[in-house]
Amino acid sequence: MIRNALRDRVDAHVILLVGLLIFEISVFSILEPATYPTRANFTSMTLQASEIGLLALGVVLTMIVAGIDLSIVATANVAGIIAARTMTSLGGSSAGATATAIIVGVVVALAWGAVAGALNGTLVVGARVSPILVTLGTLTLFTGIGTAATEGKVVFGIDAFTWLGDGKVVGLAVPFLLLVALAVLLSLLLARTRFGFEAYLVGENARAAWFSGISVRRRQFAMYVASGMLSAVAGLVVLGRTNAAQVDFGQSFVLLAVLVAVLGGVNPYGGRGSPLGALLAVAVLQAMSTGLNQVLVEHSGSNFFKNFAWGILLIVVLAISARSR
Amino acid sequence: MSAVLTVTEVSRSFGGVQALQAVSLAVDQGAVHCLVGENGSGKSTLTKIIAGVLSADAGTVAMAGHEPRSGVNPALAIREGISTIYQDLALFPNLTVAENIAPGERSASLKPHWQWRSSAKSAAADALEELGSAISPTTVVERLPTAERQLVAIARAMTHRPRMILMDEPTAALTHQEIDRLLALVGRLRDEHSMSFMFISHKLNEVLELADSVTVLRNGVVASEGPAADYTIERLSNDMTGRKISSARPTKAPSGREPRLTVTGLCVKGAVGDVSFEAAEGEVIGIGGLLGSGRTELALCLCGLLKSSAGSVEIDGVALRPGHFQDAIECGIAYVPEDRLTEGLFLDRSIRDNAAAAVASAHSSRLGVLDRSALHATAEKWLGQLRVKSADSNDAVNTLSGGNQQRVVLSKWLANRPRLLILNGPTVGVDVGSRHDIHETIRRLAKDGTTVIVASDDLPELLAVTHRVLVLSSGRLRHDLHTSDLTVQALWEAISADGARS
Repeated sequence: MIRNALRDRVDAHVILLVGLLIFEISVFSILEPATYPTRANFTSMTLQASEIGLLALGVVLTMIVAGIDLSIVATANVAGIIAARTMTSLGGSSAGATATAIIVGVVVALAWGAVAGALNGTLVVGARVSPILVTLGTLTLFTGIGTAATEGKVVFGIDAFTWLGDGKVVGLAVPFLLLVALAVLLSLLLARTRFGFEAYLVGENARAAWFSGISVRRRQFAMYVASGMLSAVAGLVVLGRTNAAQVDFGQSFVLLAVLVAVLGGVNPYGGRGSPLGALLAVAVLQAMSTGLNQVLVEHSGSNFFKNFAWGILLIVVLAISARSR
Repeated sequence: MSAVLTVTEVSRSFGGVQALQAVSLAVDQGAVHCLVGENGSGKSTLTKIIAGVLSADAGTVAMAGHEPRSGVNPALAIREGISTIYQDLALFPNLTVAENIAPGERSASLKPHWQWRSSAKSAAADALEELGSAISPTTVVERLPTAERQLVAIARAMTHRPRMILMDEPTAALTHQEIDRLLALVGRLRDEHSMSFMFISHKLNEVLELADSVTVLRNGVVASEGPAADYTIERLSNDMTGRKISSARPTKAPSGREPRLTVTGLCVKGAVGDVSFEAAEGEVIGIGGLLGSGRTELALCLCGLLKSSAGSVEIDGVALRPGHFQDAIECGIAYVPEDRLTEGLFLDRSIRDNAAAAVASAHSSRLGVLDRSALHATAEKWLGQLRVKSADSNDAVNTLSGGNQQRVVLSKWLANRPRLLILNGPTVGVDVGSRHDIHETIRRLAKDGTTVIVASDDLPELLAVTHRVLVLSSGRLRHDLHTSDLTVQALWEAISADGARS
């Protein structure tokens, strides 16, 4: 009885991820007792996980409606560049001018994210081109825009904005809090609103959704816009942390974000998945990657083993998950 | 005569749905065997198992002189002498006739590569000549009309020197003349080459014209079998549907009520021409006609899923914008699509969510916050009304049987309280009990004032639930028949006679 009730409420996949996370933390804490289970290490892990996590949220949303967004990193980098340029050109000497510069910079970056997402959405929904092709195309397009604007050089921001990257609230890194807040908010929106209910149906079977009177295109379009804006937030976080923006920053993050989304229980064919799952998945990945790094430093390890281990992790989780279904 | 193909006790299920249960049949050397049954009766599944593209859960398929088999191996089936022509013909439209025919020509593949083309051409010409056809081997297939494409497919099948040809709905897309020619060809191949044929069809008159023997499938089991001479159209339809034709009739048509639906001069390009009719509150109207008569197009057009090119559709005096499905929904029209699995259901989601899919907007606040408990209550109410049998409405809908799934689809739409309900093939692939219940539901809805339109090729169904039947052919409204004094025979004559005239 209790078991059934539990199973109804909690996804088996979530249990699997939580179990994995506890397992990883225990193992690495035993192997590296001096460095792993420390406050400094956890803070650093949450910070590193945030950027990928924010990008993965966009992938989750588009995958729920049976799409995908591969332009996330390009969108994020251009958002960072736009924000940095806006802030440096507006930033004055007074505190008031700085605040204005930051607000305008953030708004412009988010607006860019919405425009980029709207372009993806229009092409996927309106022109009915495959989401993979559309977003690979816009990935190239956005990278081109960023390169043209900066000639590939690093663009610097203003010091006051680094709070978004470095700041702490009650001992927790601001980017991490932002990620958690957005993941919770989005999960609530998906679970508690008509929009969310219908979006899952669209992802499960767009044709049946259309016959049920659901405006399929609007649901899909909205997800791409949201993904663009989440990418812009990620770009702002990177700008805050490094005080710089660059067009070729973090290109390997695209596949990592997809990996995180799938690891978090999103069905790449649509209709299933939750932002909170992605949050858990990014924690699982980060805990392992940091742990492996620390272990391998002692054993003249190289970075290749990390990718290897992530690949194994993904396959194992997917295999277990497919079996339990 | 000896059997060339023997099917023994074949069973197959798909995720809990038993598609075939211990089906046995035999096809004689030099005979035409017809496999008939309603949609969902298991015909296609059986065809695929015989062709070796699906495996059987139990039982075997054996060609004379070969080991019985049950697994997936299409190449083996071809080697044993079975050639299959699927409904879509599986030709390469961008290649020439010769290139389409030749890959099956064994000798061609042994020729050096540079001679392939010329040898393919002569092989194709020979094969077509054997069929008495004058199609040029160098024509690109996509330029050929359907009937000639079919000949190409037959010619290709012939190059395997088959002992038996399996044809899935070969006449579905052909005109009457073309059907006659095809049947003559099949008859000649049977008599001159002693070849065997297995036809999958649900056109009853053709079946009787050509077949030597008949097997009728119903809900995955053999309903009856025997020499074709023992069958009449009436017996075939009885055996296919499993019920006596004189079943329940609808309550008397309402009289003196305001028209709810007024259709005037409705046209859909290439499908429907100048159709006008009225339907009153509480009236059930059937749309009958052969495949390609415009039956489905008319149904789709009424609810805005297909754009009309002329004419108007009015609900309670309000004209609908053509091609606007959302508008139609807001005006109280519900459309239950033909293909339950791809158009009606969200297979991995719960029964409850499926039933609630169309009413989320009615159960959310202005800000879009969903009242899940109210939504679920509505879903449960309609699931109960339609007697959907499930252990837990939280289970995925794909755990249900076909009949129960169709009731879930109906619940989804009834939850919206439609004023006009349009059903396309409401009981296709549904078991007899569910069929009866669905018919009962349609009658009850009509009594409560809903106007219902049923598009169906199931004649007993049209007689059982409708007050009037509109007979279409070639997109035109040919008859507007009152059901009360109509027999299946008379309705069938009205439908097929018009088909012949066109």
